[in-house]
Amino acid sequence: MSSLTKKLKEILGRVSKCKEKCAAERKEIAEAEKIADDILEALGEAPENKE
Amino acid sequence: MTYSRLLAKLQRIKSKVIPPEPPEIRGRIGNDELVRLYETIFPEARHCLYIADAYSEITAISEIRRFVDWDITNIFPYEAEIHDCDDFALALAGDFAKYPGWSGFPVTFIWGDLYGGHAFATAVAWRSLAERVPAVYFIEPQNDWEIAREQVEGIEVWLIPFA
Repeated sequence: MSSLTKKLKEILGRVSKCKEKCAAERKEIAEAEKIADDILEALGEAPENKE
Repeated sequence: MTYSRLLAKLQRIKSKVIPPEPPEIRGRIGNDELVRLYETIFPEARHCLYIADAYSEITAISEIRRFVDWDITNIFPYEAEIHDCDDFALALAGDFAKYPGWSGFPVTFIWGDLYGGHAFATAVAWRSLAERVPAVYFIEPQNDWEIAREQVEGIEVWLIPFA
């Protein structure tokens, strides 16, 4: 394997890990937003229309 | 995008959960004055007034209104006997009692024969920050509207506890 191919594989591996991390963070933010919606509803704010 | 939306929601929650800043301008009112003010409206009030503290704080009605507007006692649905007038009145008075900076003001529960038997809220406050004359106010905690003094004047009062 050429050193260039090796480097490309390394980069692709890092990108893949970043994507996984981003997806996990997006999921956490969506969960936090759902909790915020539930609290706002309990505090009398009408729930937002979901897109 | 999602993160900024979450932050905006957290800000809204904060504004609903944390009470408004307490009034900076406040004075003191003695129990004799409280009794006198209620007796002018309800001549037999003395026997149903229970005052726990040696004195109360006083501020302008606009400041009391600022808290009432923030408070969410009024949003909950009425349910006869289970969550009715006395519960609304206790909740609003209790919310004042709950928060430092607001608990010293004479805002409380009043129960009497309005509409044949009704509990609502009452407060003693200055007419304004400029005109520091104490007056009695009545608030309907189910919708936050003020009840006119003329509407309650002379009713039989059963209980006014001040804490």
